[in-house]
Amino acid sequence: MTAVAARENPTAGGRAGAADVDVLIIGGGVNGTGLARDLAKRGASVLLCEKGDLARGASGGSSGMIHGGPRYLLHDVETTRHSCADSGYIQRIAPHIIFRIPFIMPVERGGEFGRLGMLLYDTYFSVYDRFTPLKNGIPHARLSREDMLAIEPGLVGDFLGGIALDEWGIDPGRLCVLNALDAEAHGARVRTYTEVVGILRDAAGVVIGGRLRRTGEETVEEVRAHAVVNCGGPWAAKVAGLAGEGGAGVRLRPGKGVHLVYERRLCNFGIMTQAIDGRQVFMMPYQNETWVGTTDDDYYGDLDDVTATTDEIRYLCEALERIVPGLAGQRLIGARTGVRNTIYGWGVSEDALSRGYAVVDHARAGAPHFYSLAGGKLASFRLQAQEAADTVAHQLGILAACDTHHHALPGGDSLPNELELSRAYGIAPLAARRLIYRHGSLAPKVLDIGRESSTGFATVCASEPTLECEVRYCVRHEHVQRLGDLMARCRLAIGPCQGSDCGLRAAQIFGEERGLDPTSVREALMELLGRRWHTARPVLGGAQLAQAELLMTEYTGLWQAPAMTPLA
Amino acid sequence: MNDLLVIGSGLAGVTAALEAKRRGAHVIMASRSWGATAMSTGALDIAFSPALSPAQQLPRTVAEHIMDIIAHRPRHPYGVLGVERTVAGLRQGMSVIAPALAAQDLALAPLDLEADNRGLPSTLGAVLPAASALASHWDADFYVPQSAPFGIVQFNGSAAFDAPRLAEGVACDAQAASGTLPQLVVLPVPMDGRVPAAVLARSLEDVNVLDELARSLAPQVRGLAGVLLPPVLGLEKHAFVWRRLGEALGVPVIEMLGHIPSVPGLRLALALEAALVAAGIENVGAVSAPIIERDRVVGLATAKGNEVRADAFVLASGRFIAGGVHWTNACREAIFDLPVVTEHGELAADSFESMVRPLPGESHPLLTAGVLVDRELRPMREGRPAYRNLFAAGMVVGGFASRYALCADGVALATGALAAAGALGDVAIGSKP
Repeated sequence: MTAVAARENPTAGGRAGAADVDVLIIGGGVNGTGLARDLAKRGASVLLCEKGDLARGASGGSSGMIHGGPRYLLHDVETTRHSCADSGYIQRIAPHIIFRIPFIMPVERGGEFGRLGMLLYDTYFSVYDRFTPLKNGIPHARLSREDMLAIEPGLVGDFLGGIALDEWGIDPGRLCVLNALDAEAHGARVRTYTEVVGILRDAAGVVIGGRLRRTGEETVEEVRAHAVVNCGGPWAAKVAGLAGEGGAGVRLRPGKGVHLVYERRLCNFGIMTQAIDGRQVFMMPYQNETWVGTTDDDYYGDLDDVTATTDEIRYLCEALERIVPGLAGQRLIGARTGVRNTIYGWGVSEDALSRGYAVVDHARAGAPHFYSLAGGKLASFRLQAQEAADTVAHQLGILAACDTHHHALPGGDSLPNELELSRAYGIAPLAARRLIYRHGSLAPKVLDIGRESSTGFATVCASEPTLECEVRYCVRHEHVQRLGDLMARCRLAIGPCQGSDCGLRAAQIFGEERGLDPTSVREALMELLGRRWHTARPVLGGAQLAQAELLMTEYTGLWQAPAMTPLA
Repeated sequence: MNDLLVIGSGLAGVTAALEAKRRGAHVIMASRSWGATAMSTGALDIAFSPALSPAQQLPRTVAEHIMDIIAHRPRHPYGVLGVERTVAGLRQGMSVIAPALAAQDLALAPLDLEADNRGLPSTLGAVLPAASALASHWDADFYVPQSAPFGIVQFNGSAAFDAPRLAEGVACDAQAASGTLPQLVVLPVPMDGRVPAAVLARSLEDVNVLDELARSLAPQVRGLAGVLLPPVLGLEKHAFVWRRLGEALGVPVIEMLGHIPSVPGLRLALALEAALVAAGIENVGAVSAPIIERDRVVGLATAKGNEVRADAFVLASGRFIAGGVHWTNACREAIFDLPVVTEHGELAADSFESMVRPLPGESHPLLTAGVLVDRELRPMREGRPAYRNLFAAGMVVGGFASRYALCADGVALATGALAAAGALGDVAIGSKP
């Protein structure tokens, strides 16, 4: 069949005509990378293009939980159901990068439901218990006031008791990276810092590919594809718009969400409470930090430049400091900001909007072979990808069924023993544990790089700790284009030092691996520090302000240098 | 009775204390701990005003850099003081600090304001401008063409000091500045470089270890213009270690400027502390809770609960690193609760927003926050000097950050010397027994 024939019968296009790839996926968040993996495993040839780094948008800015969302029970039971179900699958395929986060919800005497509070919440979570087995959660427990305060002595208030429940955290950056790597292992190609700036269509309006431009470059190249899938997250409406009228049907109501990051773990359990407006907010131990979140506000601003505002920071601090007063003196190191890709709805509050997803086939709007995967949640990304892949596979005539829930993501097949690994390579057990957390069964492969040089096992980022061999491994194998991309790979510069300690060394390693000249090494360092600065800037204060002064002073010489001209 | 109490024992505070001592005053020090001076690179940053645009001609001499800073940054302490008093203060500060440090066996290169900044190699892998430095950093200037090659020492397994990478960076900057690409040769030595710099510095104070280093370097240094090392040549016995290695090798030995945590900063802090002891200036430790009578400060409470009184006070408590300025609910000076000013103007005390919202193209106003001073260096509150007998020196003075113009040590020396002079102008020295 020829391309002409395809034009004559656009709905039966299949894999007709010449093309570079079967599917061009736009967006490297969890939807895009999850879809790339799914389609690649079914045998389709896939090219994924992401205009920034993987997980830079809604995925990376998320709460990092694959929870069932008891919050959605009130408005959106279906989302709770499929989030719980898919969370169970995700745990199976990515056992290394998940971690349990038990939560407690203190019930106050003066709360909304008065003395009935305990009973009502107990009943509410009894309903949630019906879904929790799907995500390997244990049923909720009713805690007496004394039990609850024994678990979390930092709680202060007049409590009737509390409810304990069980959720799961995940590293969204690594989740996207691992999906992308697994897609590549099945033949897909992944290109970060490559923006799709146009959609190619033939005379009949059939979508036949995209125009690509590398970030910071002028030249545009064309890629022919049998199908194009828009996984643009909060940018999905903009991406759909590249097909003009044909992109109709993707309408979002972006919601900005802020998480505050404290330098270390300040609680054993996540703690849920209400903010001043009655919204549910939480603090939780997250890896070696504590996060406080989340705001949810309609966002009309620039999707490419999102920062936390003073009001959002104060709103969250106020809510948590009310029942955990000790939080007030703690060291706040950053505000993570993301924009949700929530599907449009009118006349409801942000919280009440559905977290559902939609696979839009743009054939109806006159752009066959163009699809959008809009909305959705991190906790059900695999299911979202499966449904989108089913639609695309149908067009391509691929009969293979989805099997993304049957096979582990890279490193997830078995977990090495941390003490054995620590002995075998002479590294600290903590370093071994964190390495296994990120790389699972691939940890020995990472550590083998350490044997290449005398500094291979040196600690680069002490906050984590991240070893030199892991930095090299990520630079070589995990789509690190810019130094700051390491933050989402190996948590480099994530901790309180914000790169003042590890930045220079990481830049040197990056430069050595890439063969960069000294000026480019310096630019790489500035890129990393700039990204850290973006999240640190809104919450500067206390000890972190001294850290910022230290960092600015330390690298003063370096950022003088680019402005330096010959002393003629 | 004390004529003067100085709060803070960094470069600014010690300059003020020694200057007051020289003038015959009875001086007492209130120092809680080391501050940012202990993180010095080893260079003395007096003035380097980077070109604001590529088209701008870079000033040549240090004095021209000072004038450039004054011209472009009116709220900078140099601008507040004016060029003549800045220069006079710098010279005076240097004239008390240099001999005091030399007496502790820590030599400073002479400060010549009519000369260019030198381009000193640093462990950041960059050439940094400096008007003076500890003597061990001073003998290589990569802003001028170098015809003979330099060696750069690689300690075994040192990740913090990656000689080939650093050599590339230094050569790149040197070429940009001098038009000539210097030759840098890596000199591997078998000594373990995986230990922290301060530990390595301590171990090299052992003559046997030092001589072993000299033996492994000696065959490699022929024909070299100098040998560059990370700044690890001893801590308290630095002068001895540096001299002995230089004599053993027969070529200049140059320590590169350090970055945090830096051995040169520790040396400087130790020597300043010793200089205070040598001058017989007592340290009463941390102070707080000022005692005010009308428009004068009369004393402060020590951590032990005693009162310490003086006729005049110099506040040299540093900025955020040292804790002289802090921000909990608002950004304020920590001891007297003085309001702060930034490079862009005054901060409203309660305006969180004005502090966290940087101006377009600027980094962050908070990083230039410190007390606003009048021409006499008296901290201001509501448009007039907060107290008749309180003067400020060093980083606690607002309106500048070394991020924009390498000047922190120059500000410390100039304001330290002038604050002491101003404070004693208000006191009849030795009027009390």
